[in-house]
Amino acid sequence: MTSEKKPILEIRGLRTQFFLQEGTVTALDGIDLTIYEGESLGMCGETGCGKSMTAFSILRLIPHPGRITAGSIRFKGIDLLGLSPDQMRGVRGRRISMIFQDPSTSLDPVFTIGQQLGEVISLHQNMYDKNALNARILNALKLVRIAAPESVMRQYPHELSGGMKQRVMIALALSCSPELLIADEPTTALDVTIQAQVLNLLKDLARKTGSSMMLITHNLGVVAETCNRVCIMYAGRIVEEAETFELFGKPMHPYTRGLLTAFPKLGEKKEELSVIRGTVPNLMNSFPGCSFVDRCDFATDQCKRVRPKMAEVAPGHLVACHLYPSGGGKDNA
Amino acid sequence: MNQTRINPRRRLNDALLGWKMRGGVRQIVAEIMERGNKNVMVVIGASIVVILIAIAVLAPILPIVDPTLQNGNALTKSPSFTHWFGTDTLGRDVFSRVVWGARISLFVGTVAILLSLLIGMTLGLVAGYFGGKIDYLISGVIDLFWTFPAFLLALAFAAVLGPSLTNVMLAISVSYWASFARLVRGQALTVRERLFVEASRALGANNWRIMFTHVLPNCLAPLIVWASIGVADAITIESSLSFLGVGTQPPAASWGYMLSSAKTFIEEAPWIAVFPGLAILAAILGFNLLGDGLRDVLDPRLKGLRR
Repeated sequence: MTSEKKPILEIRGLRTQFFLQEGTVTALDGIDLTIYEGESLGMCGETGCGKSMTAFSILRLIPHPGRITAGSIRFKGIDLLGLSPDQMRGVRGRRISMIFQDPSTSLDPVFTIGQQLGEVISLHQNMYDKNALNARILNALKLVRIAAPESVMRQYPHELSGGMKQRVMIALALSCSPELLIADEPTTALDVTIQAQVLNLLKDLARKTGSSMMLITHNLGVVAETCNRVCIMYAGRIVEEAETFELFGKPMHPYTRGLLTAFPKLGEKKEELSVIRGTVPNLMNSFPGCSFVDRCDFATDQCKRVRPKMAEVAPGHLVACHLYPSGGGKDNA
Repeated sequence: MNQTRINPRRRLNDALLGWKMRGGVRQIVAEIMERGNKNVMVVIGASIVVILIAIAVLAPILPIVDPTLQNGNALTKSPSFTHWFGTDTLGRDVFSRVVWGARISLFVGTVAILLSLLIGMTLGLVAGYFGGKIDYLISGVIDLFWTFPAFLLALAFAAVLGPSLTNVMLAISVSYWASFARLVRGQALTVRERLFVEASRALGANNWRIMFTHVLPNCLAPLIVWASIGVADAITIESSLSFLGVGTQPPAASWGYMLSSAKTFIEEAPWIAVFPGLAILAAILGFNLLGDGLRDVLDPRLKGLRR
């Protein structure tokens, strides 16, 4: 399946580190990731595991003490890490766009929706004709199914509801038809019914425009709903990667299995939800073994000493765990 | 690669767009229009200011005598129908001089504040937005200027530069820009952390665009308030400098200079001092009321409370 698709984004060995006074924090530790044309990839993991940092690294927007120290990011053959800041700005918004978690603060409160959309469109498309620009703005708003786009255009962000604002953000991100859309927890700040609407909208739009999507979330339900491939991240590394059905059906990594059992199922009676014991390790201390070793029920001596590498255990299903020797393809141990 | 090249016209447009700041200004004006007319202070302050500006602008076409005309037949006359505010020791019409004095006071106040606003705003914005070493450097300069009382600094500069209208404006700007810089820096520090700044960066905006189209419009409300109060301060400083003889030079009619030359006759001819004094009072009161009122109108925490 993967062989016939063209990769749009290839990340190899990406390492992002933060240099603080107290020491060096390795936020991303050797990420390998490929996004193919037209697919939507889910990035899953708990808070602080590096999901958002991956997105910021792709756009080269890592906050101050952080730096990309190793690896490469290739977007359609362009080496993003080699671009000048000016060239990088030309990529952001036009070819790779991003949607943020909280729509209520992602819009500038002093400009109308139309002005903000107009800014992005004129910035990237060199469009200065007012009528043409207005038509583009209206189209962008219609695309995200906003009723009465003419009046929304003239409204300020505080006059819109959360769901509307997130749609406007999506319109902003999609206004220049980017080839890759990164959505960083796009539904976390919305209530459940609106979440479903926004997710469907994203799915539809990605299909319609043929753009690829990277969906960052800690909600496995959202991934199951929206994505065709999933990466599970833990402590700055990708620990498992598979097609959505495959992953939910046959989770391999103990962490993934922990995540899935922690997720309550509808119609199931449970007094207590199962949890993964322990907490995420401190990313400041580096050690040779698997980062999940302290919380893993199957940890062996080898896990403490040697870091497991990603290995393909089934077609398209990669996992980094010593329980599955490379190419083993064993069922649950 | 070619697609990511930046065309020079776009860069020019970036810069121009930055200065337009249409949205921010338009929203603030709308807000003032909508809520300002329910605020008594704004209404009174704005009325005084508008009347003063009208008087200043219309001075040349108002049916009044030349403020420098010395009438030997009417020396030190008390207020009457021919000379509403009386005449001074040289027989000049005090009313006419107060009217022409408004021109000088408002002109000096406005230009000096605009100049210091421009300097302070730019430096404060750069300091607050970029932070780090740049902030350290600019903040140091701001603090240096803040160690001196604005009036003393202006007095020193005016004395060094020599008395003239232009030098008074320069002196006031030099002593006043630091307050604007500090105000904008503080605002920019908080605004730059807001998500929409990050969002517009993710959508491809560059630093200058973000600074002038997103950060600055979000700092505008306190700036407008401070500028209004600043004009009142500048008028005080101008009058004081003229009073001390390092400001506007005679025979031009300046309120401060009129006060100064009237002080020896205050017992015999109080009107020569009282009317320019009242004019200064009115101008400062007007701008301060306007500024205070605008602060209430533009304060987001008070928004909607009085609706």
